[in-house]
Amino acid sequence: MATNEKPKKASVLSEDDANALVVEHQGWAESIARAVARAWNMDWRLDGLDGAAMEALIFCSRRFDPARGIPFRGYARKRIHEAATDAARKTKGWSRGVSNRASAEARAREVSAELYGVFPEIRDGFLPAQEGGSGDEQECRAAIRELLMGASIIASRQAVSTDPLPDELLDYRRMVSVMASLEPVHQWLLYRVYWDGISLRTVASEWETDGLNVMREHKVLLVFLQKSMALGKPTTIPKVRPGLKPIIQRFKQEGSKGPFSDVLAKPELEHNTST
Amino acid sequence: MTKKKDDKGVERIGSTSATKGVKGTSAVDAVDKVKAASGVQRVSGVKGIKAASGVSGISFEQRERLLSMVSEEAEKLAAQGFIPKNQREVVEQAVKMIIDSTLLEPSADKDGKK
Repeated sequence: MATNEKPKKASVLSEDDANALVVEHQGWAESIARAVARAWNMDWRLDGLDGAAMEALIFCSRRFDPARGIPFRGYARKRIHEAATDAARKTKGWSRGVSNRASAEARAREVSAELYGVFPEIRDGFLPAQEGGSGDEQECRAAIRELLMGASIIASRQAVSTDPLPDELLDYRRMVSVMASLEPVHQWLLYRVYWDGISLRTVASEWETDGLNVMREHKVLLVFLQKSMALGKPTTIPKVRPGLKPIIQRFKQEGSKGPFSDVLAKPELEHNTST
Repeated sequence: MTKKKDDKGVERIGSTSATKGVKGTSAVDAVDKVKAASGVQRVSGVKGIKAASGVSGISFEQRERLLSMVSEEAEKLAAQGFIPKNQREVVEQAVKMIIDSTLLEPSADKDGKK
């Protein structure tokens, strides 16, 4: 009789086995810390990335459940990478930039740090996935374009948040105007991802829809933005895919026209960008 | 009776039905089956699922090529006006950083895979 059967308890490793995992993967965890340090032009030891990676490795070894069938590295890589980047962001040199070059580097770090939020698969060693997934050069280029477009939106948004130059304000206004031409649900998608820093997968679970709906829609929106920015005016407005139709109803009930339409309706931005 | 029929070779007419069998083979044309499957256009959905799991793993050996691709694509997007001129350097560098941060040196991948 299995009526009072309790849910299976996670079968974590014994302390000895967990320690053995740590010893086995120490070099690999350090290489993650080194990769982060190399990318952000830091010292993986002096800046404490090694310690953060080790801590995350130990943490993962204690939580790892082999019964789930996920390889240890697949389970731990994202967490170790995240620990290393978090440690890097806490260092004194993170946002320091005296010369123009160093300042650009510091800004690039800020943009890249936010980009992890939009494309969390990067932490696992994957480019943003493309339809078909053949892994050829065209696919790589499409993924890189997606990253560049995402980075550009983040950079424009960050630029206006701190003492923007007139050119930066104009660029920002141009981008927001194009976004404001979109359907409210599309505006919210972009806003949640690039302004609130929420990943596409999290938006999908918030909206109680399949992750693919949101990922595909995001790609469509980036292509729309790319074409519209090239033309200098909005092109054909993308239709909302059927999978997102229930969300439209939700926004209609809330009476939202979309965050960018609302921003443009405010007189402050009009004033700031017209001067 | 049976014997008679056998003598007349009635049963052998059945062998002509073997010719029918040939028709049968052409009738088993895959076209019919494909038509039935065409309703299953979710095949593309299956591809999508594969893509969503992130099949484009990148390795350290591709580093130089990937970073140069970033520069090439950034140039195109800047020319189209998507990346503002004053942001070009920052955007390009940010994407190079995020890609580089995920490329592990080959020695680390070799030791003790589990």
